[in-house]
Amino acid sequence: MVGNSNGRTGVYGRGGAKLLEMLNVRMVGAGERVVVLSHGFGTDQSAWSRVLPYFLRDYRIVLYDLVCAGSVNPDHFEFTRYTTLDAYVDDLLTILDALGVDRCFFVGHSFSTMIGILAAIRRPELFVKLILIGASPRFLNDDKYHGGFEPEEFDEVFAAMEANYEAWVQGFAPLAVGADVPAAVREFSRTLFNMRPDISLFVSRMVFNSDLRGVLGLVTAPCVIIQTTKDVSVPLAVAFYLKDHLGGRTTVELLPVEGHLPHLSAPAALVHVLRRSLAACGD
Amino acid sequence: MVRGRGRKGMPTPVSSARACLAAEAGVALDEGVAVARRRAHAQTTSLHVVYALLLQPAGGGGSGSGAQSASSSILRDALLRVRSVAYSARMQLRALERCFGMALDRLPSSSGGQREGGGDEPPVSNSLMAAIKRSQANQRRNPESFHLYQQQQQQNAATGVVSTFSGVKVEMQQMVLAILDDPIVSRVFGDAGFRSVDVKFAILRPPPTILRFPRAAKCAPLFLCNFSAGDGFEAPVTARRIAFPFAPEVGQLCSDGGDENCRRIGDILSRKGGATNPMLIGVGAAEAAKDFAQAVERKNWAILPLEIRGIELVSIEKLVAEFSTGRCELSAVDARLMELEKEAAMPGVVVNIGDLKEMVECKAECDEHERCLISDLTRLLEVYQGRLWVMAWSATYETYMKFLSRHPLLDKDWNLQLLPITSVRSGMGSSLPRPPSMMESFVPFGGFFPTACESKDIGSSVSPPASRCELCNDKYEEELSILLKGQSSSVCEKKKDTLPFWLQKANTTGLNNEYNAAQAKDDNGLLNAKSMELKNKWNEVCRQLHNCHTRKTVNYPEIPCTTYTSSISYKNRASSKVTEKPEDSQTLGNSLSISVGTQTVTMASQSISLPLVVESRKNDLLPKHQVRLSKSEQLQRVDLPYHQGDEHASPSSITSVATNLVLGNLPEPLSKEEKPAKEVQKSNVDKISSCLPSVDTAKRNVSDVRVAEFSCSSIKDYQAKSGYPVNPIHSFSQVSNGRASSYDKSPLLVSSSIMQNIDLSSYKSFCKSLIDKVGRQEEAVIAISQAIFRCKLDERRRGRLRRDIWLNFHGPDKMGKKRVAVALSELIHGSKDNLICIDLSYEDGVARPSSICAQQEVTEKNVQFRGKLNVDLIAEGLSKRSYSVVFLENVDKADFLVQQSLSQAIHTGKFPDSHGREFSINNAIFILTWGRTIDKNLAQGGDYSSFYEETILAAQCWQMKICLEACRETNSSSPKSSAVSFISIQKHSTSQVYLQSSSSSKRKVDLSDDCDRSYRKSMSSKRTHTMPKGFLDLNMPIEEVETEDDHNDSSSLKENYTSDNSEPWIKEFCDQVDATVNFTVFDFNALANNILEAINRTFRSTLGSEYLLEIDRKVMELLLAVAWSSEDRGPLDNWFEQVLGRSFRKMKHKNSQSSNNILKLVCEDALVEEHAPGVLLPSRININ
Repeated sequence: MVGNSNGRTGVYGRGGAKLLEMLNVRMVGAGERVVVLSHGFGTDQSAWSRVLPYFLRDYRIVLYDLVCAGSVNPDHFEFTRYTTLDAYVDDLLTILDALGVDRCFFVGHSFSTMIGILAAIRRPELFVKLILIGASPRFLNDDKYHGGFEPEEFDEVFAAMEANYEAWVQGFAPLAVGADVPAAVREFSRTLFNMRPDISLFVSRMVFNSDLRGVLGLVTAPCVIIQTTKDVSVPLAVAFYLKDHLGGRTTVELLPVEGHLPHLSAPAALVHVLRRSLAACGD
Repeated sequence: MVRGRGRKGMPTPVSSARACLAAEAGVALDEGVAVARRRAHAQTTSLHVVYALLLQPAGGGGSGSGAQSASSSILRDALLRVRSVAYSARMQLRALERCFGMALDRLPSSSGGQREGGGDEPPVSNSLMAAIKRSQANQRRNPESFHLYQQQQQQNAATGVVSTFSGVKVEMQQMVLAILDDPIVSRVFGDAGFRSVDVKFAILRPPPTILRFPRAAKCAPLFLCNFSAGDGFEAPVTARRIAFPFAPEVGQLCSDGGDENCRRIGDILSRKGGATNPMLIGVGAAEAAKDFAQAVERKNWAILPLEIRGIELVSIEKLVAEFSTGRCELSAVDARLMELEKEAAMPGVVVNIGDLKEMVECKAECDEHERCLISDLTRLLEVYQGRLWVMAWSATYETYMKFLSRHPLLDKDWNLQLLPITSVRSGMGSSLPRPPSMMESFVPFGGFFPTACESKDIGSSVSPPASRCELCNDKYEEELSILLKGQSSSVCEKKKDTLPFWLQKANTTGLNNEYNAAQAKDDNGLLNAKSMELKNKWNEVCRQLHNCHTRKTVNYPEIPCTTYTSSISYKNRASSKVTEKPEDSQTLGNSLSISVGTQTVTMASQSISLPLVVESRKNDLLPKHQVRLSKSEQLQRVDLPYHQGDEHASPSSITSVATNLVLGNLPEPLSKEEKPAKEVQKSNVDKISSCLPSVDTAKRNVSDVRVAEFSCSSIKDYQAKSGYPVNPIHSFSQVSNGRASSYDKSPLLVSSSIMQNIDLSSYKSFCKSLIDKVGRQEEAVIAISQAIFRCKLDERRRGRLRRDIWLNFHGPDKMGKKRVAVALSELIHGSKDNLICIDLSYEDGVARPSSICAQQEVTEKNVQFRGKLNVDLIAEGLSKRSYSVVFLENVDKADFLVQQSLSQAIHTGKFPDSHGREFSINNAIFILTWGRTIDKNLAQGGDYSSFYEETILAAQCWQMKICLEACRETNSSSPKSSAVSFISIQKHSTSQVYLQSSSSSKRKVDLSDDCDRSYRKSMSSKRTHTMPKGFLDLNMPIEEVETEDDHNDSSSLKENYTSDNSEPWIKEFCDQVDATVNFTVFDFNALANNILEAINRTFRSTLGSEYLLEIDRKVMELLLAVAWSSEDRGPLDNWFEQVLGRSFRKMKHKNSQSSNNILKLVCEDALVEEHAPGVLLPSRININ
């Protein structure tokens, strides 16, 4: 139901168990070390399905859907609550607490990388390492920073989304996937189109209004930035900006493939780096 | 929700189902109910509803209004758009109706009128109800109907009426979509040749609405496009524009990030104990602090926790700012603090320090004041614990750290809680009117218009599911194309295999079927029947031989299945007859025609009528053959008598049969009649002729009776194992082969059909053919042949039912290994198509995309490969072609999943994919190559003049040019003597062409470096070209950093990777393969000699004797790469003659007056733009 006019349900009031159900949380795999996979904008946890099999033997994988994902009942999306990234961080931390996870790797993609960064700032003890795929602290350009987008461009995107969401999805998906991988484009279009357009628009506004640059230094966990050589959403410079500004020991891994969604378009290449990143940390 | 309406397991009364539906959908349901009633069915199912929708005439009518006709056209219209182009719409829709009619016929009728839910109306079945509920849920999520839903709720709230249905009223389109998901419905659609997915797609994506729905064109653009434009839902059309529930308050909501931040600050302040003093950090921190101050000032308590409502905020920002000006009035602070003490009755006071930057950046002289202030605050915080708070903010973390470094431990003393503030209010996000230049100005998200992508999508979704394996499908398509060309050239070729299943069924269920008769009247009737016949035949061939139908079982409804079994059993009888009396050649002939007949007409029950069928078909095929044959050579003409002979089973056909089979291109004897067509189409004369010598040897090598025993027993084995009836025709061919003396067949016949039939006695000829095909690596090839035959003989080495073979190819000559794999696939499985080639090291694919050797390997399939896991690619290949050669390169680089799957496959005979589905590898040959084990020492320490695989592999297709070296009298003799010495050309004293070798080994190193550098250069320039303009400046410098990084990374990566528990796996795995074959270094020097000779010939014939040609090493590497990686030399020799020859002639013409010149053939610094036909070499050479 949509009735949430009497204020928010409350971060702490929301039961962990209920959240686990709402966000389709799954815990799979046989390993001891926990890895949280957090999907990005326009996908849901199914986006990880191509890389998931590689980790089931050695890791315990936590999968969940962001509240904005198409696979979550849109009634749960509170427009008054999910106005900043912090609400998503709350969700993530609540899930981890409810599952009894006290130490984990975080693998995030796109907009989830922001969530991961903030979560690691808030609960440094919880995260062994952050692995950030296609990460950006800020999408808009300003004087000294090249985030890849001018504000006017965003207004255009939003107008396009508002005018005809499906058409926008059809145009955006191939661009985002970047490489010529029809299967990945289909998959991304599907999940992107699954999002209710108003939610999708609301979330993208929120994301593009976010700016993490000031807080990157607060991260203490080691980070791995995984960046493809060409990404419509994140210029290469951003990866190095992150490397320079993140507080923890940070390495940049450049994938020799193109596109914003390497886990869809080039899973083999990504798995390679992911496994290395996870293994390299002698926790 | 319609909760608890129908008891579980019980059908729902029609009335309550109708209550969930909007008017129009309700009507559709009623129609369905009426159908069910007429047929006296116990329940109304989805089938009834669809049937009713199909029955309604497209142009109005029915029982409803005008809207009604529009709605029923949703489905019809969609069907018309997805149907196959090859048939008339009328026919396909009728067929669909028929299929639904038949499906309904099969439903049980009600047992005498006692129905649940009372009344006349057959209640709604659970599956239909489930579909309705699904659509309801779907619609609720759909923003387009969202506002309706809200309206409804508001109305309910206003009138105080508690709605019985909290759900939405399902509209027509949603209902149709949900019903299409119902498995019983989609099955019937499948029977009729439609895929319900496609239909759904077509419903969701109407054609350009202007053309079809003039009404819809008026509609404002909507979310989820205009798909419901035609649904006749009139009332809300105008309201649809407002699709966002929050649309009017967008701005407000976005700034709510501020509210959220205030909440968080409040949360920290209201904590009991711990860190209670917020330190805002982030780009948006200033705004958040301001927002909070405003909220407190305006007493906007709603967003703050109860405990701290009523607090006051004292800002000392100004005070801090004054530090930096040097004026410092401690008294002001004190006054404030005094005030604070007086106000002790209040819930508390928050002291806002403001931007830490001010504090950090103040000059040295005000350090004192700052310290003073901070110690005062520290003291006060202790005194007024729980009632006094401090807050501050900083835009960046660095400032905060600087602050902390000046005041160590202050974060503990002050109980500071860091609060990252990430939301920024930028004033953007409001939907401004779009500038007209949007498409151009906005590249990244520019794909606003979906055209290109949409068409691609539709194309891919249309591609039909093949019910045959690829091999059979190919053959079927070839035959069909011949048929179609003969009949009507207008039929769209692409659609040829989308023949709807109902066509087949019509035929298999009986020729006097009335539908069939009606169809025969149609223009396309004859063609359809024929093509269906073909399809049927190949389906069956595939079923029996390749046993691959299992994954597509859905495509086979029950009825045809039973016919198949009957025909199979019939054929079994036939074959057993053959086995009993094989010496009777008449029987053989008969059974041949019978078997041909049975595959053509499945329902055959009388052998007498069969030859007629065959003949009529042949008559169609033969003229085609003749046309094609006329322009080809004798070999194929040989096929023709065979062809006719086949019909009459005359002994004259025998020789041609043998020839045909020896070619090794014939996977099953079944396909005899189609053989010529295929041959001609491929028309690969070279291959055929290259095989021919083996015929002779083979014929001399006439197989003895043991062959028959061997193959027979293996067939039984196969039968027992597969649990599937073995194709009797197959066994027939073996029997006849066993009695070979009269037929004089080559043992290769056996090898050409199925692996299992390879016999020891045919080893020699097999080996010879393999050597002929590969053309190098003789020792290795012999070893491979031995290994394969050993494996074949020793069938139980992996357990009873295993026939898979695993071979390791070690050593250099990447191309040679590949060629062996191709040859094996052709020799054993009859076609190159059965080769699955996958390079397991992903780095290789991306490292040198433009090298000649890599390009040679690139196939169109690669697009499909992208984005898929290697393990799934292998599994997919295995599932499509169970008789395959799996060629895996760089197995040492295999990822973890592939490793796992390979291990399991070699243990159990099943190859699992990433989802755990297993595929049989029983008839597969796995060939594994391991890295490039080039001996580095050899490569570096060896003779500089040799060529090495690494450099050849890296060779790229540079543009070439010929330039004239000014007459170097002093030198002109020396190259002749010294350079020629390098390569054996010296032996030919007449040779004028030599390889450049004036430089020493150092030069060689330079060259490769050079190569590398230019490769990088070209790469980076390529990248910059493809980058959007905005990236350019920023990326250029980074690119360099990256390549360096990359380099370092990749070296560490490799070390890392091999240490990543692959080593033990490699060792363990290698121990289990059947054989390891070592390849030897490819003799590039000999090949280079060969090339030089060829060039020399051309050179001499065009330029005469007074010129010399010096060939640059790089050019030679390029030529070597081409010669090494391509299968035959033809195109290369052509290139020498035409492209090179032409350039020589031009050169001669240009320099006719000068004498005794040295020409140089060198590479330019640019990659070739236009390739010569058939070869990756420049189409022209620049002359300078």
